[in-house]
Amino acid sequence: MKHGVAFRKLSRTSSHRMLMLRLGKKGDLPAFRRATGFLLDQTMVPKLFSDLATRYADRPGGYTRVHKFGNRPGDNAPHAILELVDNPRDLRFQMTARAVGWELLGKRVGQGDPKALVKTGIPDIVDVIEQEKTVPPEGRGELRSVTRKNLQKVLKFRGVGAVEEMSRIAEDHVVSRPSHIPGGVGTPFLQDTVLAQPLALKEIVAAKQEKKEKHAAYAGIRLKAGQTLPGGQRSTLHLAQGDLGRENPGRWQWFTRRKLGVDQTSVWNQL
Amino acid sequence: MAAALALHQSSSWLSAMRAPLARMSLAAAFLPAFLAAPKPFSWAMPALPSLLELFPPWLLAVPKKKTSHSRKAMRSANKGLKDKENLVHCQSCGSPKLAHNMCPKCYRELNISWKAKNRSADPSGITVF
Repeated sequence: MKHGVAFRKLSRTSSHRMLMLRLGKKGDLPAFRRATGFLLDQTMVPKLFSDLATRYADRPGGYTRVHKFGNRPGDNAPHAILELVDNPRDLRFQMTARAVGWELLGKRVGQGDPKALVKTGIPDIVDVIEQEKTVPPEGRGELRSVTRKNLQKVLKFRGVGAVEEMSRIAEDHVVSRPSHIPGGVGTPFLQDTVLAQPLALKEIVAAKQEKKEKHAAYAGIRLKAGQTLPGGQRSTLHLAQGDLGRENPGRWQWFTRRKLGVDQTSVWNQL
Repeated sequence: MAAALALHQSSSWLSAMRAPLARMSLAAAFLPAFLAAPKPFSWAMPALPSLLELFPPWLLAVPKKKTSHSRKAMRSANKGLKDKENLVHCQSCGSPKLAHNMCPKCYRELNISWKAKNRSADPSGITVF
């Protein structure tokens, strides 16, 4: 149950939703009658009192979540996505899992051999997640403090199997290869997952050299504007400009802000 | 002055000027007709051919010259589009996005993958994953 809504209408929608969810948790006959009276779609009422009530049994409130989503093109109205927390398509959970994968990969790219990483991936994601669950807010761990905070929040009321699911999403985001590559798992619509690109390029380069085509082997990875690879260091404006973005060699490198998740193309050119 | 009189023959506010100067007070020269001539008091509203009579001509504003290109450009110097400063990196794909907002790239990818999953698992389109 997720909709894009204009931001100003949100407070009314979310308060109605929260009221319905509170009734679902109560579960008794008067609550059932009230919910039936309010909801337009009667098929949702049993779902409210069974699935959603069990999902939010331990959670003391905060059953809905708002994600701001830019502005609507027609009238420039602020847009948002409303979702029920812990639903199968929980956006925050998905984004946190992907962030975990991205950050770990970015860290390890800087530390060690990228070629080995491409083959092995990140085998110890589950251990990292389990460890980060226990780290206090002020403490230090493998992840950024914001990512750790999000991780702890999304895993709090999720129950068994949440850590496994998170690690699976992270691995898929980072390591999975498209199906046209041998041994590839294949998500046919995600053509350029993070590690798949250099692999794919390697295959293409090797094939071209075999056929001895006129065009020389492709030297490096060409990124689109706004696209990065993990472990990089370019600013958002530089990324957005794409090929027109200028490098800042020399003194300026000391003033540019380095953040995890920003592109460092030179590393990947060594593959 | 004579030319002005010739042009504004019917103007009521100048009719006071045509009266002998000795008879007029100075103030009356600058008042509209209905106020200039002394009248006995009555409750009736004065007859006004037009409301513009309340304003003497030198109060009606009008541009004197066409605004030059340069002056017009100077005035619109502050009206340009402002840069967005609230750009950050998406934590899961590293690409630029608006701060505190959902990354559109990631949201699109997720939607595509969910829809593909729905289609492959249940072609009838009833269940939602």
